Amino acid sequence: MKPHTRIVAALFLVALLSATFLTVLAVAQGKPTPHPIAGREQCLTCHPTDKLPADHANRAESTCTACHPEAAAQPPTPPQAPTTPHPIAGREACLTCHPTSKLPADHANRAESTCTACHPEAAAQPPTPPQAPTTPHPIAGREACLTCHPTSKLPADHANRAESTCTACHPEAAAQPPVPEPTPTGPMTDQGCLACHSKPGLTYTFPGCGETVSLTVDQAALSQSVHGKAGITCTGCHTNITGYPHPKLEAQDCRAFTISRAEACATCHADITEAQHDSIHYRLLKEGNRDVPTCVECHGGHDITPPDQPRYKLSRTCGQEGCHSTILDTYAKSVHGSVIAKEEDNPYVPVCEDCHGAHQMPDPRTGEFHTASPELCATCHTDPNVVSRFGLSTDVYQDYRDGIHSKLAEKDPTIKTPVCTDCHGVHDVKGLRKSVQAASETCAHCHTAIYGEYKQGVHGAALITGNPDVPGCTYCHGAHKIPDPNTPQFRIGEPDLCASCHSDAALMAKYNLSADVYVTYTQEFHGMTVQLYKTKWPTASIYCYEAVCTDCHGIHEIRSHTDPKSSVHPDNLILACRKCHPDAPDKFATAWAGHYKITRERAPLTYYVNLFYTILIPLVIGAMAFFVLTDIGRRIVNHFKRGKAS
Amino acid sequence: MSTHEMSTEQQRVFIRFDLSARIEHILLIISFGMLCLTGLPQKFHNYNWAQDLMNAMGGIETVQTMHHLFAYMMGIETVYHIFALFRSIFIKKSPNRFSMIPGLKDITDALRHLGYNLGLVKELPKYDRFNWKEKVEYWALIWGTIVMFLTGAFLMWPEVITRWLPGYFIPAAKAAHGGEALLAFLAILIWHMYNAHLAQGKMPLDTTIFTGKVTEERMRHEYPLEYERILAREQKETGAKLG
Repeated sequence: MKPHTRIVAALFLVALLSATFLTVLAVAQGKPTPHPIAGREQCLTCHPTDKLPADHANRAESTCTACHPEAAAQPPTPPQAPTTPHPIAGREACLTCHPTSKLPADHANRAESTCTACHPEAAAQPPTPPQAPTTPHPIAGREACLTCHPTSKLPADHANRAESTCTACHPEAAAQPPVPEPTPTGPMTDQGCLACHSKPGLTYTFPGCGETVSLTVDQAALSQSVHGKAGITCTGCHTNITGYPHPKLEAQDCRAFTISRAEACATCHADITEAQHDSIHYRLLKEGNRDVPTCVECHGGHDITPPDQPRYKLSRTCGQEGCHSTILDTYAKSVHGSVIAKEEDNPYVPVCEDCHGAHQMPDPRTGEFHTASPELCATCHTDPNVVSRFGLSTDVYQDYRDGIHSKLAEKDPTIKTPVCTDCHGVHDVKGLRKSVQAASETCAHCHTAIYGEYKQGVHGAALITGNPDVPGCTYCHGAHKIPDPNTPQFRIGEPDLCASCHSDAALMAKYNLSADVYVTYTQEFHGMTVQLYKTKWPTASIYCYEAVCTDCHGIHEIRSHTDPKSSVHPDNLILACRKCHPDAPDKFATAWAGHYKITRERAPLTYYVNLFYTILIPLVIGAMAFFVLTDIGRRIVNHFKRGKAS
Repeated sequence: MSTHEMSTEQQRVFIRFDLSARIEHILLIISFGMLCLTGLPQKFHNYNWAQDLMNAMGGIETVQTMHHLFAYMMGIETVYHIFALFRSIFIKKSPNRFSMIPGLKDITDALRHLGYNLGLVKELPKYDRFNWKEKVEYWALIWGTIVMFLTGAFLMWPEVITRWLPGYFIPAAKAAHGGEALLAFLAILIWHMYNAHLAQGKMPLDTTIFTGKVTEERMRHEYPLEYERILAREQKETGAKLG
């Protein structure tokens, strides 16, 4: 050892000794480390009364720092400051890494909040993290950390630490990655995307609305989707992603992001995108309504499967809560919906898109949609392969087109006439055929006054009590092929129309009515003329002024002939006659044999006249014929006699 | 009524019907025929043939109008006939003015004719100007015309008729009109067609009603009593002239 080395060593020793001495002196002189602390109770944690001078016992709460103000000051230099400051709360958390066994003996049993009182740096944000992770990755909970950082790879003292501790010391790990580590040079591969996006818990919070969405991709669903099966890569749709880090999202909220996604669909599905530009949804979107669905609301995102498998699938999407749920509920109870709700793939009933279209979806509230709806219904209701399965006629469409409702609208499109849905319902299409009454009440929506008259008559009054024997509106007017009731042709057909029930002996007997009314009608002048007019149809379209049933009995308000209000009641009948025979005297009405067959009781004079000719004609003609025959016979006999004589 | 002329064959020809009677017959043919044609299809309007016929004639209204027009025509003819009768009876005092009045002889003639046909009587009865067959037809026509005019008027003006008569007369009139029409039509068809067209010596057509002429031979044969009466009267007249 060199002499000056010795001197240095000696000086060092002296210095060390003096430092130790000074320290011990300082402690002995009561020169504590200043530690901000409030209240005597807290002081006593470290300075128990048995260690204090005897006169310090039982002092007031606030007294400690009165005499020891330094103790309350911020500590200038903490004893044994930890290498890495780590924000941590509560003594329990501290003990995870600093077990009592490793602490000074007097540190045992201290209060919960005391650690950071003396070690404030420990609570400060770490200026430089020990072993900062290469890529910051926001992760929550120690369990998650251990997935990639198993205990075997961690320092020995890191084992068995509490759940929340990792990010206490490694806050960068939890931060959003500021700088991505491996910047891929080539195109993004699905594998590259899924390296991060398959991890659960990966989220993104939109700055505009604070909405947090999961960024985790359900790989199973993706692989089963049409795109997954077709091998479309992530960037096939997420065209804005070209690498890592990803470009900043322009969308400020989830909805804006979803809407912007539709543009990605358009790159491949240009025709559909073009078509849906005409749709009501798109129009509303452009008007600023962000609640309308775009591609993904109906088709899904990663889990896109064919929308018509089963056929009812998309309808359920349309009817989801917040969209058209009430309409779907109604539809599901209709003749259409009730079928497909049971057999979701039934190809013979319409689902939402069959009528409304899938993409080029018109506004169903417009007049054009209303006017065009019969064609829509006709696509199925004229197809024998479809409606015949349900026992329905394929003629309804053509019948409707031949009917007055359609003809009127054809002539003047401004006239509002009913289309299919006005009578049958829109989503709640019911089988109207089940009830004549229901059908008639449907007509009454528009033809209210006529229905009111009808209800006053015998037919209407019976119908509303549920009597199935009487004619409802459709019985006389038809349901689809409704003829114009003001044409000469309709008028001429009226007696036959009435006769279709009033000649039915069994039906008439039920109501004690004569079934001879039609036959007797055709036997008198009115009926004969009408019958003859009918034989000329349709070549002669002359109006027949001859009385038909309704001229005397009324049209809709047909009352019983025994009803004093009836136009054919004996007291009123002459008024009916005078409609055509203005000069008819009161007795004129009795010229009418009253639809009864001629009997001795009802019409004795006519009966005897008929009887007279029934006897006279054969008698006279028989006698004449007898003479003629004998005369012919005589001539023949004479002829042969003369022949013999010559 | 009948005077005499000489035919080209120098056979004597008698004038049985004067022009007035011949015109009456033509008017009757037309009106009766057309009334049947326009009326019977109305009675039988339930049948297709009737409907087709009426439609062919221009429809029910046209048929009814035609029926009314020919009824007027027959009415005019009837009125004319009555005038002609008056003239014959009261003004001209024709020897034949009561020749259509039926008598007991007509009944016996009819029975004898029938007996002859049946081989019970050897000879046909001798007829005067109008035989019983012609009288049957004439009086049937008179009866029919009265019924048809009466009931037809009921049907044509029911508003007027029911001012005085109960309404049930109208359907009764209709029944009678139809019944009588059928009777008249059948009677003409059987009686007149046979007697005027098919009977002995008349085939195919007895032209007398159109020409008014009848040969002496036929006079002698068919109307022997009238023939004899004419001859007797002529002899008396010639005798008076000569004397």
